[in-house]
Amino acid sequence: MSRAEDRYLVASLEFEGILRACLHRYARNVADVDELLQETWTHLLAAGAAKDREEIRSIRAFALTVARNVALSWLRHKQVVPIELVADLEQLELLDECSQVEEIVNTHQELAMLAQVVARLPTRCRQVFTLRKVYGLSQKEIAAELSISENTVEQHLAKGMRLCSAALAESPMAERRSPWFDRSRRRVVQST
Amino acid sequence: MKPKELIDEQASHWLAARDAGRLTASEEADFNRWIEEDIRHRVAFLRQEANWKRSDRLRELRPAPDQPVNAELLRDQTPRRRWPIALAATFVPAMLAAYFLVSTRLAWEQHKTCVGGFSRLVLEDGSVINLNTNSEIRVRLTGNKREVRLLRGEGRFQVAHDEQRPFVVIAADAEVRAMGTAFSVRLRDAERVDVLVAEGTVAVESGDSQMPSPVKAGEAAVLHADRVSVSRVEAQQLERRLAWTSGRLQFRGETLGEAVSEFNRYNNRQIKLADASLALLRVGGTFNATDPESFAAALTSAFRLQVDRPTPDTIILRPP
Repeated sequence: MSRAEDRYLVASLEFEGILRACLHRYARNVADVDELLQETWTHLLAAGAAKDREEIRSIRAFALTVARNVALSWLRHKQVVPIELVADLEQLELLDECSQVEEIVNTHQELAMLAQVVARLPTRCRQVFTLRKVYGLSQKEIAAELSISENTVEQHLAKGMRLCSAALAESPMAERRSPWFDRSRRRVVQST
Repeated sequence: MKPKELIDEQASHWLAARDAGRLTASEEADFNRWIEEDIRHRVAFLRQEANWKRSDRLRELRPAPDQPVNAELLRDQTPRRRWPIALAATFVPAMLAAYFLVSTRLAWEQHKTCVGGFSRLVLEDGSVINLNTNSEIRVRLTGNKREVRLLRGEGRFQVAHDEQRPFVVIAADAEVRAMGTAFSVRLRDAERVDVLVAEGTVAVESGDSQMPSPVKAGEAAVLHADRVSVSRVEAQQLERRLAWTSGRLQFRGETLGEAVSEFNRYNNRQIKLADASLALLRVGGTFNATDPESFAAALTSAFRLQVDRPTPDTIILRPP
């Protein structure tokens, strides 16, 4: 159901980890970061809904600027100005570079990773997910194939969607900041 | 406030219901109301929807159309154990070669880095060592022991699992012993060694101590000749203290004095504080370890400090 007004928000979800890392430099507390992130989303939604503005070309740069402004006004409100604000611009570029490298790696490994994520779902979820996504069966056809009710298929699918989404959110982007995860990630890739 | 889990659950139910394509008009209205109600609802839904679409690529895994539909296609047939076996298979020849080498000449291998340098080495057993700035180690692998002597500086060790051959790092009077873990050891001076454990458990022992003390993941130990103290480290601090493996320095409210001495470890170009009061300022941020100029520049604009450069290798910071 992608509505036009959601377009910047949807595009920005792809680099949620980067936005989070960016906000994290202004707010240490996870709850604060969450709050700032919600506000960033709200702004991105508003930007998508605005009628009389030019189309934004670099959504990533735009989203990072929005996040930074949200964080700055929050800090101003709190009357704390940490030094990182100054070294910030350089930092943003750095984050940006990292993420691009990550994406290149990503397209190569994406399929393997998706398969891995599905492979780790609970049995029924996995079967339903496989039939829906790999074979393109409808929920109704899946119900017939597995001899379960359509309602049950829907429940399993919902659970699968949720678990997959969570697993995908944890993959590359989230791990990028910590060198310690390098090994575990390689393991995921190599074992497929 | 609604917990995230609940929102995610609602989002997935809406997504699955829409995918089934049999929402009634009133359900559709419910959905619209739900999504307009709270930005978090919308974000949760869009995020899951994006990932749902992203998994369309799985279609590429579909076998030829004449094959019967197989719900078990993506079953995890590779037990998790297979990876170490594959790794072992790769390394067995290397290990045999290594064994041959060490049994013929029991030599210590030497590695070092200069100021500002980093180096990463992979030992024959698959263990990885990251050497920090201005550091020196000797390594010896034998049939029953893997030994590292830290002569100077700091190293991070990712130890390949091998119960037959303990991995031992010796720094001054301190000894750190592991089977398969990840940890770092820093030789501060002849009297003090810092150990930081990121994964698994190590046993540390200092000159006079009677018993080895265990240090677990997320803990730091400070070893003096006559005592060992172990403390818990927060995840964030752990990450910060290991940031050097990526060539960066991270500060989260440390004093300027501490930050400057960190920078000076990595650079011949030394930062000095003209006034002792400056040492107490609190700083935060992530910096390139080998770029003290940017750090100085950040300080000048944040705290309005003055900078002097009497020689190319000295940066003096003065109060405004």
